[in-house]
Amino acid sequence: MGNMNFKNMILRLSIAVCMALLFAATATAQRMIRVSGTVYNAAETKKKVPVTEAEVIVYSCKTVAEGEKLKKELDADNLDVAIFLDPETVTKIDHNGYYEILVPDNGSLVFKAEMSKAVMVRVNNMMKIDVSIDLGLQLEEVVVTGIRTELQPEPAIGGLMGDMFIVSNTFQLPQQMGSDYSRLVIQPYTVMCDGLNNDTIAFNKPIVVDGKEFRNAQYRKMGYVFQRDPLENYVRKDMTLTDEKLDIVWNDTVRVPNPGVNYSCYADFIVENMNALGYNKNFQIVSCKNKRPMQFLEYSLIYKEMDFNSKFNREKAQIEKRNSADRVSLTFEVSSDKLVDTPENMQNMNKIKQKLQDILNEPGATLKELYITGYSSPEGSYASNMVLAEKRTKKVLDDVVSILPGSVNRMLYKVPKAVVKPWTEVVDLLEKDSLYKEAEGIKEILEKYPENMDRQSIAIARLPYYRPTIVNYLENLRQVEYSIKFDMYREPTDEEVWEAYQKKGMDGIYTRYEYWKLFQMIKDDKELERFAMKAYKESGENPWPLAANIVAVQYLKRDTFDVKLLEPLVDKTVYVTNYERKNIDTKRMELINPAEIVNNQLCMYIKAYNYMDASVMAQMLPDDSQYDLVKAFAWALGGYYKGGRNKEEVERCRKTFETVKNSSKRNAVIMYLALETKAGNNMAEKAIAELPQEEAMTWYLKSIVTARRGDAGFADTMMNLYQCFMIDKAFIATAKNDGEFTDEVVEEAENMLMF
Amino acid sequence: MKVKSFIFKIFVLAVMALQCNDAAAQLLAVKTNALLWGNLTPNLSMELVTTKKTSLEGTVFYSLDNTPFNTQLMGAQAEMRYWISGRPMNRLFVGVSLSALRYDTTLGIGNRHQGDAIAPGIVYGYALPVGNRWNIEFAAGVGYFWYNERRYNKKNDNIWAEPYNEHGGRMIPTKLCVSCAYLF
Repeated sequence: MGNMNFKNMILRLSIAVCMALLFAATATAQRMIRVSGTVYNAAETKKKVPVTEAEVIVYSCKTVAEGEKLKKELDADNLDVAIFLDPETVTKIDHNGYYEILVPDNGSLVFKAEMSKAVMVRVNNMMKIDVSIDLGLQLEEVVVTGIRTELQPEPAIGGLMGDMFIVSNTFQLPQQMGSDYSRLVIQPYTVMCDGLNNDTIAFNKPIVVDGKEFRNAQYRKMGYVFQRDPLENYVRKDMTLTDEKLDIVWNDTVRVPNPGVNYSCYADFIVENMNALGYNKNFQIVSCKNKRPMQFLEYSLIYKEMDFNSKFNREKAQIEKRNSADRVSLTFEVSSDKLVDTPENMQNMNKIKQKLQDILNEPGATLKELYITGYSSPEGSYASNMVLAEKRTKKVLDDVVSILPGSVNRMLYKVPKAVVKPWTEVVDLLEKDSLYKEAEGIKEILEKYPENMDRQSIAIARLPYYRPTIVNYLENLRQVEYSIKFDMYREPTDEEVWEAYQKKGMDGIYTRYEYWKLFQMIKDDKELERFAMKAYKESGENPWPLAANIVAVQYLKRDTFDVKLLEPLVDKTVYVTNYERKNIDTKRMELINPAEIVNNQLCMYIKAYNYMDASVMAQMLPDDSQYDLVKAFAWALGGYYKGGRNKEEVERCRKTFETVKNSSKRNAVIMYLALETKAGNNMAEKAIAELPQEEAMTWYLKSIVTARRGDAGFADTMMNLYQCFMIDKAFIATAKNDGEFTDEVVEEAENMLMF
Repeated sequence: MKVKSFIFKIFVLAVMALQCNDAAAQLLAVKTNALLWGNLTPNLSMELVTTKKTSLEGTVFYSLDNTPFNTQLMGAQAEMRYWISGRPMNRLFVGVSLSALRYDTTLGIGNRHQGDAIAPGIVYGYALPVGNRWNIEFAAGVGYFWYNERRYNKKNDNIWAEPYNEHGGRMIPTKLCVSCAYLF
């Protein structure tokens, strides 16, 4: 029994020892303990406040070294280390800042709050660990207010209506930019956007805003008169400049020379106080993207030919007065009327004789008058110069008429005239060659002796540069001018005219009657144009509408224009076409503003983008259905298809709109789009359905409609543009310059094209 | 007499110049200092614009026999002003002044001072426009006060009979004004 007890005792002891040894082993290795505590905010220095709002994550680490490593990783924002941790070793604080976590008693805890640095604490057998983390102070409510610190106008989209460039923008002046004591001047200007020459097309109206005190000081300024200040008319009376922020609304319209290209506006912003310019910067205020709905309008200009046999165009054979004038240089021997024997002299002399001979040989031509004017240079005595000039002129005249038969010579009215050229002509010649110093010298002498030519000559001869420079110019003044007047009368048949034309060609002398016949006979367009041009130029003072119109029609056929061509034939002071009026000089009835001429001039103005003058022409044209279309295009392109100041104009706009709309299906869409209203867009969308669906233009118009829906239509616009670019890549450039589309949508569509 | 006629000539010239431009002010101003009136000292200043940014001011003042502060002042001050704001008679200016005066004061404790002084100084001021033709002007200046005086006991009634016994110089305020100005 005693043995049993002993045995039992030994067993218990050994178990106890074993147990003790076992426990001792774990104790020296690691013992998991439950640690709890509160996380406080270190930024609250006055009292301890638990972290309630922020998320603080508590990591338990088996050793201190592990904790240090984790802290380093967390501080380096290397957050993926935390992802692979055992979820048992991670916990979060509750809303009172309290936490509990199991951790080895010689391990460590790492606390990490959102943005702050991680905090590591050694456990060291502690059961309760409170830590403070600097989370910063929390604000009750934060109101973020944006302040304009700098003027930064966004370029707006300009619109082109006809040749009017319509622009608007709002400039938001920041605080402190102006003051009571300063003046703001905004000077916008319009430039062409071709990237090459950013030439200023026009200066827009400036905007001037005065501070109250500036204006007062200006008023009190000595010698200052408001009326004489060029800026005074532009001072905005409805606002004053202060140091507060200010919104300035700007809108303006300028006429541009070529509505086919894009324009943009820049502006100088200047703030001046009474002392100096305080602020002077330049901004782009209107971008190079312009809205131009009318650019796709399809139109054909209908040119009109004149009727050859109408009352005013029909030509009859009649006596015509002609004039042939020219000037040649002839050199004489010094102080003599004898021509110097040089080839040039002979040639020039023969030129006059040849001209006379030509006229003499022309059938039906009768020589009437011969004017010869001899000019002599001004050096030396005036009286002797005059005598010499007369002698020389007489000599030339005698020489010239010597070739004429006696009968003709007797009938010919001969007018010799001698002129001594004044020194001012030498001045002109010198200035033409940029010899301003020398010219100035002569001018001074002329002012000194305004009347006396002899004294002028003496004084000028004394100039140091007289011999080397001036003498050479005197040579050029010694000339002979001649003018031959003759009558023509011929009444040939068609065959005779054609034969003569074949013989003489383009440069021959023709009567008006012959021209009229030949216009109807010449079939080649180029030849006809040149021939009509010649006839038109010869008609001189009394421009010949028929010839001019033939040229104009040829121009329009070739798709070119010259607005100067028909200008002398259109009288804008007469508001109607085909107006019959008696010419005061000729006592003959004549036709003012033939409808054909006005019609063709209108076409030329449209081609020249001069829509204002085109609309003037359109107003002249009669209310005839044959002109309706051309009138409507003129007005539509000029932007006169909406609005109107009175009932009449509104009615005209409506008619223009309807006419252009009905001219073609595409034009209907374009006109609806040009209204730039919601209803217009809806109508355009319906009208697009009737256009051929496989054309790039159709897709382009579709994308305009969707683009006008704003952000909601972005995806549709992109797809439509993509379809459009697929068919025709040329539209990419068009879309890029079109104010209807944002840069992003065009870029996206272009990107889609690449894949 | 000569000086008088010179001033008269300037005045006539100024009036003639004013006739030439009726709308614009800022050539000539007359003003008076309210602070000096507080000491019963009638005073009058005239300011003439000389260039775009400068003007010339002249002041005369002469106290009555009995003044509230027991200080009799009589003299004149000339001042050249440069207008920092860029416009004469508008806002900030700096200037140099030269004062010449005779004084007789028992102000403060101690002695009675009676003497003559000359004081070059600098001025800083602000002209506040209150209308098209009216300004209120604030200015202050310091200068070196160079004096020669009789300094005797306050009870000494016959100070005029005594000889000059003190002279020297010191920095003191030489200008303090709140003026009302009318611009011709």
